[in-house]
Amino acid sequence: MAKKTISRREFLKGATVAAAGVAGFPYFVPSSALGRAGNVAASNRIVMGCIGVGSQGGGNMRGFLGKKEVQVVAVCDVDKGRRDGAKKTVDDRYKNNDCKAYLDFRELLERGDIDALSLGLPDQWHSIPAIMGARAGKDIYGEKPLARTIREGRAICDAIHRYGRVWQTGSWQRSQRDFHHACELVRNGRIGKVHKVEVGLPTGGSTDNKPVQPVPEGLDWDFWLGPAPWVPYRGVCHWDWRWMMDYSGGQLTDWAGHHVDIAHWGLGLDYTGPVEIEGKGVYPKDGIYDAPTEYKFTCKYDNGLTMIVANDRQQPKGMGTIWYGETGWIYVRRGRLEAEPKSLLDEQIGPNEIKLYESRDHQGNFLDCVKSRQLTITPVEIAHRSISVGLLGEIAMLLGRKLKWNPEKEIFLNDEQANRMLSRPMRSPWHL
Amino acid sequence: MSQRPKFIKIALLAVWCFSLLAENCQAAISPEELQQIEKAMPAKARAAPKQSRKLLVFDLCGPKGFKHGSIPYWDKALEIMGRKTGAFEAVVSNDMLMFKPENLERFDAVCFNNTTRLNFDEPLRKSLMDFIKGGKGIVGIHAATDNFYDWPEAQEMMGGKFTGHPWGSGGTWAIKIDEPDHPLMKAFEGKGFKIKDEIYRTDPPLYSREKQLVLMSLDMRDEKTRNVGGFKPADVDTGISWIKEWGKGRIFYCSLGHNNEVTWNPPVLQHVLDGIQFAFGDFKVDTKPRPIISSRKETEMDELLEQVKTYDWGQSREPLTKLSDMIRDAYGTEAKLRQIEKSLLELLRSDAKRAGKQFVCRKLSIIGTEESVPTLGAMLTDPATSDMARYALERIPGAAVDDALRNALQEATGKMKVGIINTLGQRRDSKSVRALRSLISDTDPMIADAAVAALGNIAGPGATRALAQARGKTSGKLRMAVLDAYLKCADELAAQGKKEQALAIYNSLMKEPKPINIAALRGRLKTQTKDEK
Repeated sequence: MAKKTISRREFLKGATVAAAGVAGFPYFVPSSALGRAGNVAASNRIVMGCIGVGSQGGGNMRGFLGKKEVQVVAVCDVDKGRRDGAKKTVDDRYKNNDCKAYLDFRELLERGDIDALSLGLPDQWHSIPAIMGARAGKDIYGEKPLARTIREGRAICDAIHRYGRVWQTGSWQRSQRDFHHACELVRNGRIGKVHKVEVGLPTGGSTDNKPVQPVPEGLDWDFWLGPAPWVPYRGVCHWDWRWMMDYSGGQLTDWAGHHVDIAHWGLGLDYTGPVEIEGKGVYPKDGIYDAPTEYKFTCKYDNGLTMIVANDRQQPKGMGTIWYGETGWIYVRRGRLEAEPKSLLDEQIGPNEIKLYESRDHQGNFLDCVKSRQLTITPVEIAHRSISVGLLGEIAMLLGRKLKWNPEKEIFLNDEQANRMLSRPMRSPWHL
Repeated sequence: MSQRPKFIKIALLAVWCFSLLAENCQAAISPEELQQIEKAMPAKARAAPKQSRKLLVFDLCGPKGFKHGSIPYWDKALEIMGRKTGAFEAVVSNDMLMFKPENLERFDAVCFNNTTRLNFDEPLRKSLMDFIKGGKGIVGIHAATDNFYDWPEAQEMMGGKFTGHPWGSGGTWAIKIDEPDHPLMKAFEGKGFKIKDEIYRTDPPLYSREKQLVLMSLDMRDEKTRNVGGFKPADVDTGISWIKEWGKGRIFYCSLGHNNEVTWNPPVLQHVLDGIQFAFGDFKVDTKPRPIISSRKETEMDELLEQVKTYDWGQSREPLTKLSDMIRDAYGTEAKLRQIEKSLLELLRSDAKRAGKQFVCRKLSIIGTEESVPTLGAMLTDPATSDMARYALERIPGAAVDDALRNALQEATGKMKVGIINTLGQRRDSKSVRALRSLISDTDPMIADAAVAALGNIAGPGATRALAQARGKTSGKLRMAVLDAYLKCADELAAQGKKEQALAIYNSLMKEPKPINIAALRGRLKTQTKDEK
């Protein structure tokens, strides 16, 4: 039966859903990538600005600094210490004083000379700079999880597709041999039809309480909070924001963009999601942190597959992804690849079999795509679908009931409360 | 040496006998006590008997049952009550044969006066059930729920079963009136009271506010009553007296009456008399149970709400997490959620701290309805509460929410106004297009930018027209925002299958600066490709 109308998001999604779409709707090459005035044309340098240059963002920035085809010209952070430190790192690398340091990312986005962005921000800050970056015509290397809510994730996809930007997500496991090999074996039916996949993620954190305290000098706390509800500073911002649901879903959403992402890849479920989600979380009863420390939820997919996502203590294999098929299983985590039967691991993928996208350098793959205008190994829609599993699990656990999900329309069926949780009202003046 | 064990044995025997006397032997009532009972007794019945009434006051205890010292006091009190008020004639008996149908039929109601471990064999079971179901009454005093251990139907009829009494007879306990306006509660004039008596635990599910109308219960706001030793979670709702219908008949039970002194407590005597008259059928009253929210939850929730009121950032979050759990437990029970919503709204109107109010707004964002709109709407134009009010309102469905946002838009300034505009955009409120259109020319660039973005999110025909007009009237950054919003409108039209209109917009944008022209070209290609399919 033909659908009467398609939603805006389906329309926008069209470009990436069909692989052929890449050829049909070219991404446009930034002029500077082909050589800019005042720069050595042959160098083909991609001019980058890095927003959020703390732990992961700082690591990504240093990675890009190591790439010959990149010129980092701007850094941005709401913490002066990190901002100044990042500028120094960049200037030391290029042996000049040219790197500009920004407090407000909007000023960085206004620079016409910047081709690409590296975003390494807390989750509540994932959507707005990404969307504004796309509107400013920038290609983006953005950290996982794609967004804090499903609606924000969809809005990022929309903007990236609308403006034809290249997007790479920091789900770098896709660029690792073990993960790639495991997924290719599963995808080519080496363990038969897969009926179950278990995804183990880290167990969470702490139940500390923290008193209200003065904001450290150099930190723009209001800007750090951004669209999240206002709260006073209590000594938690860098790193430990991960355990507070205003900014993150805890270990679950921090890691779903890795091992759930790999599970989807092996199963060829990159562009869809579960139809039923049910589970239970354990939440700190007191203290400043409120993200679940333990969690376990079951997702059912349309094809009958069951995916169980849980913290490692509640998974038989602990961390990582294990696919169970009719004739065996394959298990992969960082630094480990196992299979039953073992001989599976020696098998080669034949010329007529499915070959998965191959990359052995995640940041390099992004830069290649900025030049070639091809899809990266972890494009925005895939990242959205990977983290959607984590976000759906989060909602199901918070509500404490089984939820039915329509992955096409991205709405819950017959659950008005659950649908309210698909987005979060933003603190003024921020908006999508 | 040999004498000593013997002496101990005798002593123990004496102690045992004495304890029997103290516990089980029924001391005679002194003339002074009789006088007190007589004096405390109501002079008149509050209901006129429809006919002359006979009450069987039954006071037998089973072989293993505890014999209450107050049994003769109640026997006497009920005799006096019937005689003095003219409401009934009491016949005291401990003969099981009284329950034979031919004997029972002479009575209008049976009062179980502290009977314990009573057991009925067939055919007396049928006889009692026929009696009550046929339209007669049962009255229970104190230990009347300590019976029928292998007869579940009769326990169910009584609405309770003895499982202990953490509140001992030496203590003074607080009682709250659950039904202050109920005719059977007139004796207490709506006021809770304290009483020295033994209180039975009333364990669910036998005891349930879904099955009986509970008239009064222990008041857990009283610290001593709440902090009694051996307190279990279910004890927070401990019923004291209740009524229910059973077949065509009526049950009245009052758990007071362990201590003799209760038989000369005037309000309790009045209450018991009213209850007996109800059992006869002389008092037509409402018996419908009130299961809305068990008072156990109510009390606990009230306490938590009080704690949320004084909560501030940095303090223990425990009351917040507990309250969250209670709200989650209520998901799916509409009546409970509405009651919780009401309490939360009260808290918002109180002098609670900002931290507590923000917590409440987070909860209302999930469970709030249009009921919340007046309270939240009033918070929109206060800089301290505007963002948190929107946090709730943005997620609450209903036209009343949009109306409140639009109203506040007129009054609000600065960042508050920006927030309201953003929320109207998120809600895709097409009725706000006119107001938003005029805000594009606002002197505050933040407001103008927000209005443009909101129109792009609304993306209906009115918004599309407004943005088309704004193209020629804006410049610089604001104009780029207008073009971005206009592209969204085109995408929306394409998604709705209105290809011609979408293409017209894409085409009109082809000569705009980068990256608008790129997006327009992509949109055009995609729309045309869909056309070919």
